[in-house]
Amino acid sequence: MLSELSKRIMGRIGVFLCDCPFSPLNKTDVEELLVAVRRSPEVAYAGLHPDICLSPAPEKVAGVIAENGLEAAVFTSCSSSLHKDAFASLTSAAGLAPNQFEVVDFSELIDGKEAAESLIEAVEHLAAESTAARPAFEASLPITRRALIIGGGVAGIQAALDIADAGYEVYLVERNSSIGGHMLQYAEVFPTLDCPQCIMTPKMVEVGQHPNIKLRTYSEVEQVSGQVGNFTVRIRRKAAYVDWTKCTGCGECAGVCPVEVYSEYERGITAQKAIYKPFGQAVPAVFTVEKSGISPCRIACPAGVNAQGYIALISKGKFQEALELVRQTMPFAGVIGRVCTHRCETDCERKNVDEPMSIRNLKRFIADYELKAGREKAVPVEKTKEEKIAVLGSGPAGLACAYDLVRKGYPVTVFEAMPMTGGLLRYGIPEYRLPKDVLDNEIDYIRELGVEIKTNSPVRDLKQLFTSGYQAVFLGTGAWVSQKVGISGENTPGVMHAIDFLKRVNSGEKISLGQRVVVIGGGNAAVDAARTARRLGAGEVTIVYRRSRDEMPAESSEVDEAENEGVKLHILAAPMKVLGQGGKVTGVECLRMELGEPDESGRRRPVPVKGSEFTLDVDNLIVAIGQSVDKAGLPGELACSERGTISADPVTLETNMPGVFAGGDAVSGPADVIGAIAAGKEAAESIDRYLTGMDLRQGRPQKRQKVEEVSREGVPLKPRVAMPMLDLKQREGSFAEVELGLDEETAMAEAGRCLNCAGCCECRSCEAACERRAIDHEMIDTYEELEVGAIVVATGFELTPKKAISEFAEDPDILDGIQFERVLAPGGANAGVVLRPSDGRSPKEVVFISCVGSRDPEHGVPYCSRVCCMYLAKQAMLYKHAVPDGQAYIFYMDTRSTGKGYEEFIQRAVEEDGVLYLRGRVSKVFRDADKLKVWGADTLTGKKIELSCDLVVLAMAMVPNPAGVELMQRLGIKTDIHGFITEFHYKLRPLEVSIPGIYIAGTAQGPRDIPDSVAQGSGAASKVLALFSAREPTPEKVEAS
Amino acid sequence: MRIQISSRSLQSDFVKKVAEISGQDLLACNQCGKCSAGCPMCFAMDLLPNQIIRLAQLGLEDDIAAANTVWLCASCFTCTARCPRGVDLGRVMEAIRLVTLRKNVDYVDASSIPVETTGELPQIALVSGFRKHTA
Amino acid sequence: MDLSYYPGCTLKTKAKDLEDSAIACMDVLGIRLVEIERWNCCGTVYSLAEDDLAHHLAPVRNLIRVKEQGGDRVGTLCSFCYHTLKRANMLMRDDSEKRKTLNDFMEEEIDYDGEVEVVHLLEVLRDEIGWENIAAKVKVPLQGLKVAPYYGCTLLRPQEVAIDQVERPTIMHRLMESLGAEAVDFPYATECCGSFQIVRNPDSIAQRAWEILSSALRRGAEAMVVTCPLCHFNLSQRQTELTQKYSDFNGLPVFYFTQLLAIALGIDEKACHFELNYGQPLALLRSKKLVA
Repeated sequence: MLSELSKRIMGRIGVFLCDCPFSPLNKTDVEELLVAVRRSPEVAYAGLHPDICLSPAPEKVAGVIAENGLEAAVFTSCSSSLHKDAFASLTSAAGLAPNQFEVVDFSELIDGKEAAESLIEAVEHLAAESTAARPAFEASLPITRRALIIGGGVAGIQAALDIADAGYEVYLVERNSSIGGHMLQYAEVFPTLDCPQCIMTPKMVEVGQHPNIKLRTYSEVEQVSGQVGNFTVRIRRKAAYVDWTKCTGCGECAGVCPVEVYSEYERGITAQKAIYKPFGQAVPAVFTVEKSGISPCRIACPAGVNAQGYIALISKGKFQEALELVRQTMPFAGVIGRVCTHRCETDCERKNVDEPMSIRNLKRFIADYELKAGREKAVPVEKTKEEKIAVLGSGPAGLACAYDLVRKGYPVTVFEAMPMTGGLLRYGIPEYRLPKDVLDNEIDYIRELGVEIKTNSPVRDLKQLFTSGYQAVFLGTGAWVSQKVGISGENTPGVMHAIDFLKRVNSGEKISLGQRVVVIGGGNAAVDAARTARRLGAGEVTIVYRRSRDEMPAESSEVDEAENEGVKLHILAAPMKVLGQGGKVTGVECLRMELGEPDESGRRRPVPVKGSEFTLDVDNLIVAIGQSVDKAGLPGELACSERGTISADPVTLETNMPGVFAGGDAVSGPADVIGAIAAGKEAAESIDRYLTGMDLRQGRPQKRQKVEEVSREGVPLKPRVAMPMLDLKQREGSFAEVELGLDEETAMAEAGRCLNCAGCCECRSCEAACERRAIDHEMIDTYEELEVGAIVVATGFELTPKKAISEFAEDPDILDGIQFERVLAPGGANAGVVLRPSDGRSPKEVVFISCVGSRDPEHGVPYCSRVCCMYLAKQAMLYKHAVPDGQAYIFYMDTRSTGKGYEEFIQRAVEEDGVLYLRGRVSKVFRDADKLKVWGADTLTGKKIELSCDLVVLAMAMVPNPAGVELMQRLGIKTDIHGFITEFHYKLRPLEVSIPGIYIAGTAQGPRDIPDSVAQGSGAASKVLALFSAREPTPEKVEAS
Repeated sequence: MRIQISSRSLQSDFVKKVAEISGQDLLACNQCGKCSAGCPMCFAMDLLPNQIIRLAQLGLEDDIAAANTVWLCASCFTCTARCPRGVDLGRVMEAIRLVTLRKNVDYVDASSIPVETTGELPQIALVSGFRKHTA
Repeated sequence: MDLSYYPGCTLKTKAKDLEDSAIACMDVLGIRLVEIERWNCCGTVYSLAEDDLAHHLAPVRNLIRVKEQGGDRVGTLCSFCYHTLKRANMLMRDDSEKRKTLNDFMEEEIDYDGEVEVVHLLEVLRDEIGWENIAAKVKVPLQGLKVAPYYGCTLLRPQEVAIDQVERPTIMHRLMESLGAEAVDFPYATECCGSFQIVRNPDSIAQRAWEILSSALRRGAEAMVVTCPLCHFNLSQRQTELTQKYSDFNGLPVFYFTQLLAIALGIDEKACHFELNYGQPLALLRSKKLVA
């Protein structure tokens, strides 16, 4: 495509055809080609030159250029990449501006027509470029003599040391928290059987301590810009949540961490803690926390209780610590553990496996555990503040607010109108759901911390509070007024309203009910009233609800238990009129409903069915259709909403009166307990900010990052534990608690089902254990920018996942090569004692399978993975050394043992360790009871082989590290279709890539063994050093990538 | 056992025919043995499937004819599904069978099957059996 | 909803149990199987010879019937028919030269370019109805029944015809679970039963049947469920001699997936034609209180 804007070079291009044995052109072809190109108006000269790369041709060419005043040249050549530099020097020596030439490879000249097209295209390309548009490379730019090495495996380490030893500064960036790479995972390396940890540790320590090496582990390269000699690099330093300047690597933190996560180093053979040092010889020798956001349960909880945290602690038997963790947020583990609406369970990731975690019941367990053992009196919190705070209402909202404020050092007084504390927790929820001793215990705890609670103390006049010295007020007065249905006869004696009814029962009043009781409503209050009525002796209790059972707002398990206890449900009916006689209620006239269109709440509207009246005979009627706020009890100046609730800012909870905050049912209308607790906490935060003169809105609501993806792979199905319930017979006439609670064993088993979505659960046990105070859970990623002159890419390899070849079953005793290294390694799970992962027994027959996923164009990669033949032989030998009475088999196609001493090594395996080589690929591996069946072939004898063995090791294909491939794509470095980095010239320039100044080393380029990677590391280093030693940087043509 | 091979034997009519009928590149097979390792019928075969294709590569028609392998093949396509080189060995087996069958040499004779059996067998068994074992 | 249905020769006689139970089930599930008119035998196997076109005529003619009769899809029950029709259809779609030759040869027929889609009934159950909907219609949950799903070859290989993952299929497992049964996974679920070798080499079939049945038994199966009439025959009919040969083998009932589906949907067992099955499949169902 010719650009219209550029100046055309007319009649100033020369075409030089090379005549050498490699040229595909014969005499006639040459004639035709010359004729064709001479037709272009831009071409001033076209000629054939023998051996154009060899003297005296270049001189001749230079002469031609000069004589004809040429400004650009097209050459044909056997290999443009090899000869580019030669042509560059030639043309510049001949006086042409830099890069004013094109090279057409012989491969493009084979077809006559296409050959002419290629040449003319090259001519036109040159013609279109105006020399003015392309500035010449500035040869006088100073270069930064600092190197960046990406990847801290064996190749990167070698390169870093070589460059650093030569006196230049090196930045070594490694994405894991320690350098070392895969080599540090192996048990012993072939053919020397050296211990890799032993031979590498000195090198790694040298890297860590070298004055010229800046080690940046747990970091990634985000961006590279610029060019050879002057690259600008942006590095992201991931938050390790541990201050490495303080960490000594002592490991106390890991000792107390309750969460286990997948260990990349152990590759699944054993787990590691969420705070970990990857292996004993890690450099740097420090700990890192693996944390990927906040788990869904924590995000769902409006109060922010750390469910993942306390469940992790329960799973390890640390019940008191678990309770302490809950208490960091709120004091009602026992109460909430019984009555919460558990939004956490609704969002629990475990539900996508089988069933959600029993988060609520586990919370109750730890509260009961402490209560049973006997709770130590709480230590009063020191009052460090002077400002007095008044809290109105000792329900969950008020007490949660007081709890947070007293812990901040404020003097808090709670004013409670009723004779006893707790609000609806005591007066609304029946004893069989929430025993009073549980509630009392938790309120006592709050008192012991120093909160003053005054019962029988209603407050009407807020202004009076301020004049008597209080500086802020929280209104948590709730919604206690029972809503009326608004039908005639509602005031007939014998008709009660749920809250009044429950209040009286919970106050210890003896209420006698008739035999037949009808409860109107479908919420928790209605069900509570119905089940209470049954316990008070009513034989026939019916709940009448105007919508369907599924739409009842009450907790469905409550409705189930009500039915179990003999409560009848009369759905799709609504009361029309209360019937009375002799001053007492005798019945209620109802009308059947059917469900119509949805209303604003989204629930289907009940529509009366004409003519469907019916009457229920009753001795008592209890109305439970909802509660509202007692407007009369509120100060006149306080602004209220249309619904009659207190108006408060949704974020700061401020009311229209300065210094007065409100939350809970008083603001929202009837809602759940945890919502009230959350409101109390928010109000406490607001009050603290208000009293210290801080902005009330900043940073609120707090933005929290939910964990994005949670792996459910390999999680065995296990339903959640059932809550033991009180026998139905024993419930009759009794208010004994119905849900009996979990025992220790069940609780720990249930807690073990948790997926630990976020990794670290932020229980902060590590923080408490760290004597150096090195742990900082608020750390964020930081960024570093630096200037470097050269980059070495050594990002390494990974193995194809086993499940890519699906005829091999997924089984704990079928391992890949690196997993088996961990089994063999003296530093591994069993200190080098070879045991089967499934049952811990010693495997007596082990089968090693070569070429899994490699040499397999149909299902995997077509290439040979190069190192597997050697490491399988090594692993078979090491296995035999560990299990002398064991037998190893290796299925192979060929044995590729091309290095020094490699063939002899294989022979040792066969002759000294009795390894049986069977020539054939394996078709299928599956489990048969406690054995693994392997179906292979021995093509040498022409037999199909069936083996029953104890353990199988698969030599999975080596592929480039996916993180490295992704980085190459971002940096614009060419890779082949498998993701291996493409070298500048396969044969002669294997350490360079298409972009000058960037060099490669190690398995990122292709499968190879350790000596080759180390040699390449040094080779790449020498390239860098050559660049750094140059007086002037040579102009290099930057290829379009 | 000594055999003579030459470029002529490698390009024999037999080899050409098998390649043509099967549509497969016989040389794509590198004798890894995975087909034999997974073949459900090889317990009853004289030679393994991979040996048959090897003999076909070498043009050794008589050795193939002397073995019962291709006749015991059940066309289950396990080999086809698992071959790393993408060789459809099921088609190669069929092609080798057809080379014989098209010479009017049947592997199964209808009269040899007992009447009770023919009465019992589902139609698909009879039809497929005859499709595979007769011309 | 109507679905064009191709029965194939075996379903009408030897495998009436498969057909009748299938039709009854699909009725309950809301799909009417409409048998196409003037269908012919599909040939049972797909010709694997590159130079053979004659044997493709039979399956292609059936596809033409479907097209002529206004259908764009045809459902099959027999695994062999599914395989043959599916591959012949793909040939007509992908190979323009052979398509032209075949269409030209069948000048008396309308041209066919692969417009019809070939599906197996299991695919229809999974994709059109869905396991949850099937579970919702279950009247007699097959509780306590440990059944091993056996897939055979022709529904899964080669990859181009596969109705599920080639090495680890789960479609029948899911169906059994939706019926309330316990699906017993076993390693021989996709291993060939020996197929047409029953004609010429019946002893080899006994060997294969033994390997497959004993593998399922070792994993705790009480029954096997299959899709293909030939698998059914090969796995059941040899059981008499196997019980004699292996003293601790007492037989393993083999069901068609549609028979179990019918029982679970509460359809009368007469539609299942258990009298056509070897052994005592009803006895097992009775012991589990799944039939009277």
